[in-house]
Amino acid sequence: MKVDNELVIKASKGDRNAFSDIYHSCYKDLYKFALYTIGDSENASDVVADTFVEIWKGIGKLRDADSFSSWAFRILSVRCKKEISNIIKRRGEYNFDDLIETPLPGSENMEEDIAEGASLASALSKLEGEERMIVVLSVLHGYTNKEIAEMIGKPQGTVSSKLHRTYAKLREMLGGENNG
Amino acid sequence: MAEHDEKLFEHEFAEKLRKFDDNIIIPEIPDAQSIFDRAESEKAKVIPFKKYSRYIAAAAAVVLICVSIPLLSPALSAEMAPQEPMEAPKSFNNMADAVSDTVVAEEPCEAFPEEENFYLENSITESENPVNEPFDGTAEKDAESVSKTENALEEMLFEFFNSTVSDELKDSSAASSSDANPSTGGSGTNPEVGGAGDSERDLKLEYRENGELSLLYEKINKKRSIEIVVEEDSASVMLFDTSAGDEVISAFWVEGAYQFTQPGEESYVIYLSKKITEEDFESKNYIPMAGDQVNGTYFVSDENISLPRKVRYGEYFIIVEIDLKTGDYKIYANLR
Repeated sequence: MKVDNELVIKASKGDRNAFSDIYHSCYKDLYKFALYTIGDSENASDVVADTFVEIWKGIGKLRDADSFSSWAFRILSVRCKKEISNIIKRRGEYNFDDLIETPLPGSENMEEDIAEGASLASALSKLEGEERMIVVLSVLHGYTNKEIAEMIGKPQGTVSSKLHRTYAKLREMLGGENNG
Repeated sequence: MAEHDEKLFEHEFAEKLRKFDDNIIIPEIPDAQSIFDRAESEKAKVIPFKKYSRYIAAAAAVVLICVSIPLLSPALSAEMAPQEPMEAPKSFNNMADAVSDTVVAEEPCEAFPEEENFYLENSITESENPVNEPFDGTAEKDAESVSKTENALEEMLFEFFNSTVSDELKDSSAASSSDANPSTGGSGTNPEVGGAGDSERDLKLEYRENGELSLLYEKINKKRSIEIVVEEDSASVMLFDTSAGDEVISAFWVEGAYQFTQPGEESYVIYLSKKITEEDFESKNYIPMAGDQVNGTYFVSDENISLPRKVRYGEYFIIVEIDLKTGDYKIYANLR
């Protein structure tokens, strides 16, 4: 997630237009992260809105514009963990219907793509929330284990071992098609 | 070969995930104005003391004067009767202190400044600020830099460690040190412990399938609740202001296996433990870590770590003390 430092600096001084630009440029990435973690579109939207409120309230105290992205993900990860526990309290469990129902593009191999997407979504849904966070941050956003450790508030060693274990789980679940 | 297969899988998985990711439908993005509006309304909700601080201070001053007059009379007369000089001034001081305390308590909470809403910056005091440097075991403690108050608190906590807590932890760690199973021994919030809001306490514990504690939520009193997400080797803590729509006033994590908690009138204490192997010790990779949004990941300050002279490795007992008013927290670790 790339954010223009100039915009961050302006927003930190209270420039609402700059913050609005950041909001529109980051929303997609933060929403997807929340969706992967929570699995529910409506709750993901709520959590992202909560996160942006916190970002706006706290951006004036952000010391380093370069760290904006990791800071934003850190806030979102805390919010997601809280939301997961709230969902579990309310419903007894949480599901990934919205993630699993993600449509795939119309391509030449549409049926194959649909099956592949469904199995991928199903495998992701079987991971723990934090495992999904780590995989998404690592694979889709390219953050290092050290950066992820700071974002999700865990020791770096824990992130490394969790990522390794998560890959092992995914390989077990998706192994047939990926090794074949 | 196995490593090659792993890399191949990771590569293929990454490609599929990116493809999948590209197709996630993003809902209509709400107008940014809604964020500003919410921030404004939440700010308005969390600063009642600030708004009325002048009136509260004026009322407190009136009370102070009213209390002072009758108390000052004997104090003044004491000048003429030196054989009983201290009674009145002493009681006056006590009363004045009490009133002063009231004034302080009524002052706006630092966590909710009016112009700049609190944002976890106070979650650790400057004197204990990271540290991000591994403890080398030789650095001298700068005793003068630690205030008397902090020393007293430290002494109190370590004294506590060396008596009751160590006994409790012996029991709990005996049951949990090897398998870290917090469902037995001293795990979970100690139901015997009293504290602020005894009558308010609303404790919820959630366990994993294997019986390990995974989440602890506690309503500490009318204004504060806490949530502790328990991992195998760390705990993530969030302190909420329940009087302000569950505003997060402190969020951090600490390395260590959760043991139990102890609510107090002004603070909330969490106890954890961390095993240190000989390898950890030899590699000097044994200082407990913690982290928050402001400071990132950091090592617990060596000023707050107690290392025995004879024991070369063993187990840390870690105390986290959270100030319920401000959300500031302090971490102490004692290697035994």
